[in-house]
Amino acid sequence: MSERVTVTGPRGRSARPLRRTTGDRSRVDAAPVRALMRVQAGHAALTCAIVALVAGGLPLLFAWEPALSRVRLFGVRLPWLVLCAVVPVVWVAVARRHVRLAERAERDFAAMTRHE
Amino acid sequence: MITMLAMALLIASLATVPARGRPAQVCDLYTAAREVSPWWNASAISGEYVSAAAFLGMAGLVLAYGADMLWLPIGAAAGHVVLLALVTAPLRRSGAYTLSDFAEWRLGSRRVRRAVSTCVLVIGWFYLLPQFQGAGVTLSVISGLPVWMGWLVVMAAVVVLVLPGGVRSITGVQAVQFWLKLTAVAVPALVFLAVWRLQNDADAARPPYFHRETTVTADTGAGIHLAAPAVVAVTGVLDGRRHSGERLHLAAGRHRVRAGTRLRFPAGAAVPHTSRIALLRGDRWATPFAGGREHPLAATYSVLLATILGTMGLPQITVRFYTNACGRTARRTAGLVVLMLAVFSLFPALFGTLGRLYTPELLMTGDTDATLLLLPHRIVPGVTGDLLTALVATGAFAAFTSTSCGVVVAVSGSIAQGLGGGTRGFRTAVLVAVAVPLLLAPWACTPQSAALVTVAFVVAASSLCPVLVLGVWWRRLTPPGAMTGVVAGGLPATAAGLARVLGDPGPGSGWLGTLVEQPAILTVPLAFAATIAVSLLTPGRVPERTDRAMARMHLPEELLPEGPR
Repeated sequence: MSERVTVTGPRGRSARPLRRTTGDRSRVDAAPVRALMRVQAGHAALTCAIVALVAGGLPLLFAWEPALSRVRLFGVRLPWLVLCAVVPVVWVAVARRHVRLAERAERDFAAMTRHE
Repeated sequence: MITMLAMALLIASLATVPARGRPAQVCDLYTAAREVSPWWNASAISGEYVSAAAFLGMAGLVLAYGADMLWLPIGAAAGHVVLLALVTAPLRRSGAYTLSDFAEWRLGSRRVRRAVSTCVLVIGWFYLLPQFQGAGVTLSVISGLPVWMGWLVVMAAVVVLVLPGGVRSITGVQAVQFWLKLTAVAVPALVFLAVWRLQNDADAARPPYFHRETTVTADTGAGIHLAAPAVVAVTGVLDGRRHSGERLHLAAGRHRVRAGTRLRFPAGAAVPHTSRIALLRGDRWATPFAGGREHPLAATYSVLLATILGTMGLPQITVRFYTNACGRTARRTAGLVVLMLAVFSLFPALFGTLGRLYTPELLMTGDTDATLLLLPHRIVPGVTGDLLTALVATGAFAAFTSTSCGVVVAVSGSIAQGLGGGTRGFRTAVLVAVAVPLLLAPWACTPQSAALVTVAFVVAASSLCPVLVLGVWWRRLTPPGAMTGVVAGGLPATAAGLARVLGDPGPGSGWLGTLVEQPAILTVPLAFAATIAVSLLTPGRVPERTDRAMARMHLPEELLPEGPR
């Protein structure tokens, strides 16, 4: 009963390498990986910064300016409207943007290695 | 009522039928046999995430505490944005199935694996507890059965579903159940909104009444105001006279209750308003940070930190991405999950507000989890109300079973190796994962299931989040660093969580009370600081495989050189 139960390793067509970017089987050239990682880390940092700004800023805003809570739009108090209707839309937009940027970075990287 | 319950359970079980499959091989216990499309998988993840807490609890929290609780669904959806940005694709590409596997693969350390597995188990327990509680409340509200029956029903459903088939049998269940849950809240919401628009003064025109026999314990001396005469069994001091359980005929008007007095209202009695409800009504309820809590801003930031960073540490969420074919589809799945949760985050506020109008007595009973279940009858009595209640109850049971199944499978997958591995290890792990929350449930004294779920988020954010984020992005992470971080963040978070679950919830006393209730603001930075500091102090322990691991996690699969992991 000591068999490993983790199911790992490449599966399916997508996992088969189109092209070896680096030398032999056991070593990986770290430089191109670092370059891609830097780009992806930049996108990730920006996405997280937007989330931090919205999630960190709104409580501060409502705490500092209680008058905002008395403003009504369409009969709904402003904090309720912002938290229930606006912020979720912001999250969706940020998520979509991140997916797009991350995929483009990977496409660019793949094109670059193919042309090398 | 019983027929309604039967109907609800029937629909719930029908939803599970397409997923039952052949007996599974060992590896099938852990992974879905086929690769799942992003849309389908996102439905499954959302179904898991929109758990009992979101389904029943958040509406109750909004009913009780108002605007301050709107941050919870915000944090929940934001957690998936951060998960998408930092973890999803690299984690899928690592090929590690569970968080424990990831830790061992990335750091090459059995000890770190064991520490992570322990955290996963604790998080699973804290997450299952509110599922059981919610099931108990649901069952007792719709059928009058004792709450422990609900615990047993969910536990039995989980064991029956999980033991034979594993993940393959629950991917379908969860995906179907997400849409069931969405229907179960969207349809009543639309009906309620229509009715609400037609009778704007519904709360004034029809005074709320108790739907079932209810015992209310006054926890502070308070004046209550009865809108109509009622026959009430009183144990304690009422209007200056001591009673010991006899039934009294109370006239309409004001009465004085001493703290600790129990009032048993029969079904159908009008709900008394306490001065406490009046205090929280109106402006203060609807305004953020005006609910009379101590340090509300710090507590809010703590909740946001826990939910945003804790999401990635929930074992049942991360496991799901493994059913995607590659990192790219996993990322797309995460994007769709954000969309689905955004739709869902509208409902707690709506139902909480309606609960304020139609089920205010829940503020006295404390059963705020029952808000969603009681609303249909209050707003549209009769057959429509019955049908809506059945729909909501079905959605609730769907939430309990799907979430519990997901958690149990993920936790068992993580800890099975430590229990002998293979099918037997997995099945032992299932029983371990289910048994502890069941034993803990009778002792838990926080009635709000959404409040309990935040405990799981806090532990996840304080222990697994640093390992994941730094493991994916930071080359200098070392096994001792990861180990220190898991212990430094996980232990205080777990201790605070236990104190919260088992201790008296009462109003927190100063900063200490606030921190015990919401410790994330302290434990998360502590865990990150400890991980980074110890990693920097042990540069010689950086695993040799780091460069290879980084390449595997960050390169698209088709560019990855074949070779040892």
